[in-house]
Amino acid sequence: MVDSRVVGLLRILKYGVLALVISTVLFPAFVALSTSLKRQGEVYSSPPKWIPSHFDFGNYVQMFKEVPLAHAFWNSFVIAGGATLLVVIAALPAGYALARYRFPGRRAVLFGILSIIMFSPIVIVISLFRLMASYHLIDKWYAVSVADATFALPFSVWIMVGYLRSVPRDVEEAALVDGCTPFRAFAEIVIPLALPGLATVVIFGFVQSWNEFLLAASLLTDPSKYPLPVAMFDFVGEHGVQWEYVTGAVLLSSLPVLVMFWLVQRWFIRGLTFGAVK
Amino acid sequence: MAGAEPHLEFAASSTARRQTRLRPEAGVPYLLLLPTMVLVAGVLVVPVLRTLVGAFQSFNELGQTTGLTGLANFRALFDDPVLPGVLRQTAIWTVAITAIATPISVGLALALNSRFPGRALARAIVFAPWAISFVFVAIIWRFIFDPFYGYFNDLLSWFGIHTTGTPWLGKPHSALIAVIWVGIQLTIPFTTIVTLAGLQSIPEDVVDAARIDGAGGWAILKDMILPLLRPILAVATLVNIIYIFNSFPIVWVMTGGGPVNSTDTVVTYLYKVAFQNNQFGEGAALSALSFLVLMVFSVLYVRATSREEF
Repeated sequence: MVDSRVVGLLRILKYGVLALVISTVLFPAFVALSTSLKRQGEVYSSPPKWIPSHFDFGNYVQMFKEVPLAHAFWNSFVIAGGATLLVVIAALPAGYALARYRFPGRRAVLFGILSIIMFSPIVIVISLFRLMASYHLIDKWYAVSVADATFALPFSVWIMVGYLRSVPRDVEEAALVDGCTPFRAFAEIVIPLALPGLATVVIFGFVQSWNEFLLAASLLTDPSKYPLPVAMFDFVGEHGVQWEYVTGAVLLSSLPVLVMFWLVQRWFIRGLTFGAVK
Repeated sequence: MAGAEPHLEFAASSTARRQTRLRPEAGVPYLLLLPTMVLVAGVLVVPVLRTLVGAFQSFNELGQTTGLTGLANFRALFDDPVLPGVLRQTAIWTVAITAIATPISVGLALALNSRFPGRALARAIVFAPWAISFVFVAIIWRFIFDPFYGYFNDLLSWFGIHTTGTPWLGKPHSALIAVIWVGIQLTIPFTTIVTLAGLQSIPEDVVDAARIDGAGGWAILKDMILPLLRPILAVATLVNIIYIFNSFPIVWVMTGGGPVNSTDTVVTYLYKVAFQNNQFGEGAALSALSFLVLMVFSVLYVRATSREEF
């Protein structure tokens, strides 16, 4: 009987924690939405009004004039797009090599990749800055893409290995026996079957690079080249913050990656079961 | 088939003629790994080596080396009166967030793994902060803690606590608590995802079989799920320690390490030393030390995750 009481208590605790966490996630989202729709005078009323007395959707037009938003969106898109392309170009063949071939050094490579999954830019950012500066690569978007891609790479390779291993070999083998070249077998049989893994890698790479702050902040000095996180930080850092624009800009900047993440959420969790936690 | 020779695994059983056709492909896996190797070498390995060397070099204002200085950088670092506080805050920051976020994440993962109406939506909301830039979330929290226009003071006033005008981010203790609070919030999603992934790898039929055999919910949780979850928890904890130690944007955006270095952690201080004070040598020394600490946790992480055979 003690059992059932403990179970009941655990259940309350479980869903209590769930409710609490959900509200702490929704709270800043609500604050941002509410503030982004306020008239300027109302933003600076103390105590704050939780529901704006008048919904001013014009803020979402005005903010593009006040905040360097259009530029930053484009910069983010270019940097993250370039990084994603690099991640795919590197992770797909690497994952295939590690999943399908036995070769000397394979274990060493797998261990190496696993040990740098957790690597963070902060430790090398000073050296990287000096290195990039010596090759005149400061303020070049592609230098940020290359750096972002490298940091998204270990996890992407790990996911790719997991997915490519789950593609049944006999289908590929049958194609090879039928006289199909290895490259065609790879392009026409392996890639379609590993598509969820590839989609996960694409979105992981994009989201990671879209959100990256430290590398972009260090390798770019020209404000017109800043991606969204750096541009927003720069804007907030300046005199008199216009919160009605900042909050709206933050919501707009988060939307693309949120949608992308929701699309692959299920695959993403599966990718993790293949890799790190198994 | 020579053991050392690279080959497609499934080709092992095929004819000798196929093997001769595969021979020119011996370099193929290395070729396939080349793009990854180039990126990792250029962006990680070379800068790490340069950091380790740089810790023993002197630099000019522009960050160019001017020669070797032995241990001078480390001596300057340890003479720095700010460093002890920074190390203490880093320890508090890392331990507090890991210790609080990990158990919450486990409870959350258990809740999100059981069936209830609206589970898909609940999962989406819980995971969402992971997909958003920490910079954006930190910017919103900075506004929430604003002394006059922020929502936090107003929220407290609902409970009869009147604090309007309190600069939460402008006072050392409350600022540290505030950044830790946001740190916890932003650590939970990923840990929950990792734990949930682990829970899903526990075969359901095993749990069902135990249930048919008459095992109660508590017994199943205590004797089956938690032991199976233990290695996953070890991984989640290590991941958290590494991530939180490394986390830069939360503190940087909310307080900039202030007031007077009271919320600086090793990583924000490192950034200031190098990029604001142009003390590249001391920055490199601190980077090198952080690298060694992180190496230890990385080794533990690799050992915890790689019980699976490669």
